[in-house]
Amino acid sequence: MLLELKAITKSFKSGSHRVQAVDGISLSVDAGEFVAIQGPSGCGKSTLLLIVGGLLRPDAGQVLIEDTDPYVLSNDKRARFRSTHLGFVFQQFHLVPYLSVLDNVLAPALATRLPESRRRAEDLIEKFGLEQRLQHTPAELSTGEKQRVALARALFHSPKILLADEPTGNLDAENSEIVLNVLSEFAGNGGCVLMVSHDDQAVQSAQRVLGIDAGRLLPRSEKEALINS
Amino acid sequence: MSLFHLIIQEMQHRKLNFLLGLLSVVVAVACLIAALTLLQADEIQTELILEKKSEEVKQAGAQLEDAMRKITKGLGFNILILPADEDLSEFHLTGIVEKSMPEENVKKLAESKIVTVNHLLPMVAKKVTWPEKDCEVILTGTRGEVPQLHRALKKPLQQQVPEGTMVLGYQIQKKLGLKSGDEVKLMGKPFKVTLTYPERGNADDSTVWINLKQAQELLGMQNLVNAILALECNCATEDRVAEIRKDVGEILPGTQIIERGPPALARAEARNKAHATAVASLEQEKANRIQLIERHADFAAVLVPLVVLGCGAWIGFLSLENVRRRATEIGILRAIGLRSSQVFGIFIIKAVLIGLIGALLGYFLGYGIGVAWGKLPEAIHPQEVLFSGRWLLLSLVFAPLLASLASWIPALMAARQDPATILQEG
Repeated sequence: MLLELKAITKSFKSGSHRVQAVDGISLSVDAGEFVAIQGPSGCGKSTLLLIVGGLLRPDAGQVLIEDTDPYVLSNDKRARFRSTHLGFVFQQFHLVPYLSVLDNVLAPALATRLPESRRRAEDLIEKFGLEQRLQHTPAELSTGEKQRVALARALFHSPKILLADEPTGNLDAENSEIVLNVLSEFAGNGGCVLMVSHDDQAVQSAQRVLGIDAGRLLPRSEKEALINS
Repeated sequence: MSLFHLIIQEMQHRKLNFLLGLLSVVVAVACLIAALTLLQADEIQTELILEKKSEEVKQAGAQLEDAMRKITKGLGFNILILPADEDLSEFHLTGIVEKSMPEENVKKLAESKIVTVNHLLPMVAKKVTWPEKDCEVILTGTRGEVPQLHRALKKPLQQQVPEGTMVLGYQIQKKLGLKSGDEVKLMGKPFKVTLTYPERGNADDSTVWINLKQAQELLGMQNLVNAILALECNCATEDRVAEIRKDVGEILPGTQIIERGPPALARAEARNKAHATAVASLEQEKANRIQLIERHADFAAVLVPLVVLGCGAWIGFLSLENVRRRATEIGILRAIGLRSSQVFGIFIIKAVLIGLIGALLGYFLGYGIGVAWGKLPEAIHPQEVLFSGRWLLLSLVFAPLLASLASWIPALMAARQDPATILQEG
């Protein structure tokens, strides 16, 4: 099992009361699987993704990535663990505004020294059809190009798991298709994709679609009712 | 891709933040270096002024001596009119006049139309023992100048000693430990010391001057004088003493005339006085310059720390603003695996770079201000003498240190930011 979540819970304090963002979620994902988690805004999708990404410690439960719980590691070791095991793609792209396309893709190399890193970055950029934009900054790119750069950055260090938070949320149909094809290809090559989205079209590309509401994964019947509603 | 590359790219991207930070360091370093350079210029200028003044004093002394020699050669001289029966050889040996003559002689001379003598000073002088102090002194009584009636009133050369007062020669005041303002008794009479003379190297050093009338009473010489001193006498002929003897002899038959106080002595006194005045002026100049330097140093001691603190606070504020603006970027860098120490390093290295560049620019700006405002003469090459490699080095060490200290807390805040919170908000 590449990724295993065991009874994960997480709540936040909101004013005088607590909000249960994730409520006892358990989930197993194998290598080569593309799993989509679908649900409305504020249902806990992004929180779950941050917990899986080793960025947000759960209140209870356990996250296991290749049998390692990242939360038992020190901060620095967890950062290193992220840089070797996980790739992130966000709806807002989160590119570094002052770095060129090439430097943005190379950014993970700041955390891990990879051999022939520049060559690999250039290959990825070429693969995403951005070779003419090598020295352009994010401000000079279209939204679709920005998301492709973000994908290239996420794939740069060959992670085991790709975590995608509404990766097509800001894209047109053409670019959404490109992004989803890349995610499918990544899973097809033995990687694991965990994508959260409320977009029906996007989740169609996943091999498994799970519903989430009020921090809980829904049974299949409830999920279908939720999607239909 | 390296952290350094990322920092340089960020500095190029957020130019205003970088330039404002740089400006702070430049201002702080320039202010410090300008203050130090100006103080150094002050010290060099003081040395130059004092050197020049000292040279001027030397030259002025030599010129004054020469001028005095020429002037005194053509000016009057002093004579002493002695009683007819005074043994001159004895007087030359002891310096004391044994005989006396009527005080009326002074009046006769003053009322005559004689032109070769001036400034008449009747006096009594006797070697006595000061009983109260058990000390031998030459007691001299003087009444000041007697006005010559056929002449326009001249400014007196020597002031009279008022009744009840006393003037002491150097050896007497030194031996008895007396000073101006002391009250003493002489032969039972009370006196107040009003003046003490510096060392003259002659009989004056052992002399006590009091009022003529009181001296006559103490010595039992009422209406008598031992000698009449005539100052600044003028003669047209070469044999000036003979000419005066002739003139005075017609008015006071039988009196003896001798010249007193060779011009060389007067010259030396004048030169010494001029030298002392010049040295005092030199000391005054030195004191003024030291006071000026101290004032500048005091001003710098207040201004420089204020500017440095202000600039430090400004750099801290700019760093904080930089951290706030880069929150999402920090979040994503942390998400892709950068350690918190690396995030901390990004901000500290940036501060060090700003400190280094600012120190270099600030040093040369401050040095330029120091050279321009130091107003040192071109001849001593102010650019060379005011340049200090040591200060440049210290600037290059301390400015980055201070800049990184000012950025320390914002950098820590950046390193401790929770990436999850930032990415959830973003």
